[in-house]
Amino acid sequence: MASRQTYKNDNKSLRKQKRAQHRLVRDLNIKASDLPTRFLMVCNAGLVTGFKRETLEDIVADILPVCKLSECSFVMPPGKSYCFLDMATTQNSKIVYEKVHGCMKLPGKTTPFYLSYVESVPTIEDDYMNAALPPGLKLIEEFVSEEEEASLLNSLNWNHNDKTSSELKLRQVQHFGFEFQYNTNLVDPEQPIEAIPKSYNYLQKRFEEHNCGHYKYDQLTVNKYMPGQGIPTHIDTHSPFEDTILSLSLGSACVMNFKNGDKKTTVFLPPRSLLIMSGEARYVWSHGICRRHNDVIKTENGITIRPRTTRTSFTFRKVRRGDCQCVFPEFCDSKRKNGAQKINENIAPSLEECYVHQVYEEISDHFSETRHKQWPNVSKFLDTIEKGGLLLDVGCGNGKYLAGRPDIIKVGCDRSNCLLEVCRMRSFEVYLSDCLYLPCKDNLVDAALSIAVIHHLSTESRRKRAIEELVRILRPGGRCLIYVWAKEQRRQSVPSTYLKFSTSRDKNIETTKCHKETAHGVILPIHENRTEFVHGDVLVPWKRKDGGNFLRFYHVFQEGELVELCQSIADAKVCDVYYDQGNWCVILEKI
Amino acid sequence: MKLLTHNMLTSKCLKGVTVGYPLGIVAKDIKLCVVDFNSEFIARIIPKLDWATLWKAADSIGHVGELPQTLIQDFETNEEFLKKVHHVLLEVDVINGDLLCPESGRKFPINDGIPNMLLNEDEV
Repeated sequence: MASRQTYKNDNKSLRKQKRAQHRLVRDLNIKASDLPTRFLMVCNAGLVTGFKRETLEDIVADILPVCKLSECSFVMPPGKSYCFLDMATTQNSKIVYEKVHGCMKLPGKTTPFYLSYVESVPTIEDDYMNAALPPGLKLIEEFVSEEEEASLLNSLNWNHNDKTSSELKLRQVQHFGFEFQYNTNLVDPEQPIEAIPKSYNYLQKRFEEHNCGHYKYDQLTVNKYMPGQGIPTHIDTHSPFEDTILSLSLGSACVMNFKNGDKKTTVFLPPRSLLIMSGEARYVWSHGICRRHNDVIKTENGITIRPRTTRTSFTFRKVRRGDCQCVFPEFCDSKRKNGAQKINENIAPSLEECYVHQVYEEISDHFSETRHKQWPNVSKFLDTIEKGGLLLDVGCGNGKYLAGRPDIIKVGCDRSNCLLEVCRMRSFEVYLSDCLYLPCKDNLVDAALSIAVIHHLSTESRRKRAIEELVRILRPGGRCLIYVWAKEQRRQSVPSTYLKFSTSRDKNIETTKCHKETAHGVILPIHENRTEFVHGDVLVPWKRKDGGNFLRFYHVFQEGELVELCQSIADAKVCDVYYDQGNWCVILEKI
Repeated sequence: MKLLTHNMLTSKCLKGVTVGYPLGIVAKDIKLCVVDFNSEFIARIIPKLDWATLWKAADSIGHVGELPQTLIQDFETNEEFLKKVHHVLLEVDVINGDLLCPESGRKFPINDGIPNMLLNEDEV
């Protein structure tokens, strides 16, 4: 007994216990207890490690008499590598602790279970998977019989190597009727391929009987998923297919994740079930399957995991001819192609007012907190200004570049009054003005800065004008430094600081909603923070620390774009061009 | 807003305005502050100033003191003079008031020391 006691409290198990206890406080704010309680935490086994509820139940059943087992409950939090037992009494709890902690081996492993007494167990199981189904989503269980399932699976030939079958990164795919092009996410209705096999005709009949849309489905995609494979979250492109999309699950069950903004839900797809997606579920909600070997599912007893086997899905769609007629323009490729207004000179001022000026007023406090350190290459430029020289920082923000060099005259201007108030508190000289109309004399300043300003202008002629204004106020021989955000966030495969420093704040920002129709009829893509840019004109989310999500307009510059713009300006020459942490930078001198 | 800043500002971006300089000042609230004096610094910036504008601006808000209306020859070595310039340029702070376009009379309000030089879309 004495030796076992020592083993249980050896350094290793104490260390494991401690670490798990810390994590628990951080994750769920539940404290461990030094004294026995009725609650136990299993420190090193949970749904994420492939530990099943049933296994835990069996372990406890072997230790406690049957009459006591019914008093106990088990909590398996999804996404965690630990789980909990509520043993109803401290006495039960002590028995299990003694028999399991540090001595009983984990299933299939040589390491033992580590347990810990805790003050309570979480209730997170309750709100999981209870979210309402997306509107327009329907599931019909046992849509086909087991015999039909077997015959459908047998009818497929995965070996032939023609164009209609392909091995995607995460799954195998076959197309019938028309081919779905993964590079464009489109279908060519003029290029039919091998038709849907006649032997499947009974399915079409059954679709009609079950009111699965009023279409004669003419495109079939068969996906085969091995355990561990999945499909990234996506919305089926609107224009290639009509409203209703049907998906028949065969073989293994799986869990499909649905997402729309903050709303998330999971749908368990049992084998032989038919999933019907129409309306909002088809056009607005994104869906996907995680790459996992096990699915977290809800049973009568609570949450557990179910290992996946091979799943084959038959997705039936009706090819659309013409444009999508949906009422969800923000998600619609047809609307983007046809209806979308291009940003023009008439729209630009109010677009910038809405997605730049107003946003900075809202986020100024938080923004200012995040902008303190001068960028080294900007400081270097400031160091080149002669003593007694005159500097104007156009777009000075909170004045971080007005702080140094006591031997030069520094004046700042910005479009945001809130940020200028920060400058005033720091005793900097500033005024409120627009970078397109600087209230400054011609040929006056020795140096000017334009750091992270011009990318907020939404047309090329406005961006050019902003640079012309900088040149106008420079004295001949005076220089300005321009920084704009680069579309390329990687140079020589080195990611920029922007890509590297992903924060938890970024992860919380909603990115499913991939486009936004502005009040001006312009549809702009919403950029996913800390990722590379796909588009030139984008809305970039800002999540304010004290709440609120905001979108700022950016035109991100491609390599060469800023230099070309500068070279098109009379009385100025480009002295230097460089790339600095995800920005394109130019030093321009007035001739 | 200090008179150093005022010395740089124009309203020439207004539609129909050709020079827009110098701007008039209506000062409702002036604060005097103390700024460290550096004679070399002041001597270096004097050549960059529009002297007449500085004098007129200081005079119009009642803070011209003994500053001469024309710039003296030996300003670089005249410590007393440099101190007066220092005071007018950097220690007189207009907190509230208006700047006035000399051609159109358009007012640019100064709030909490920050001149609002923004123009409406139809003014440019």
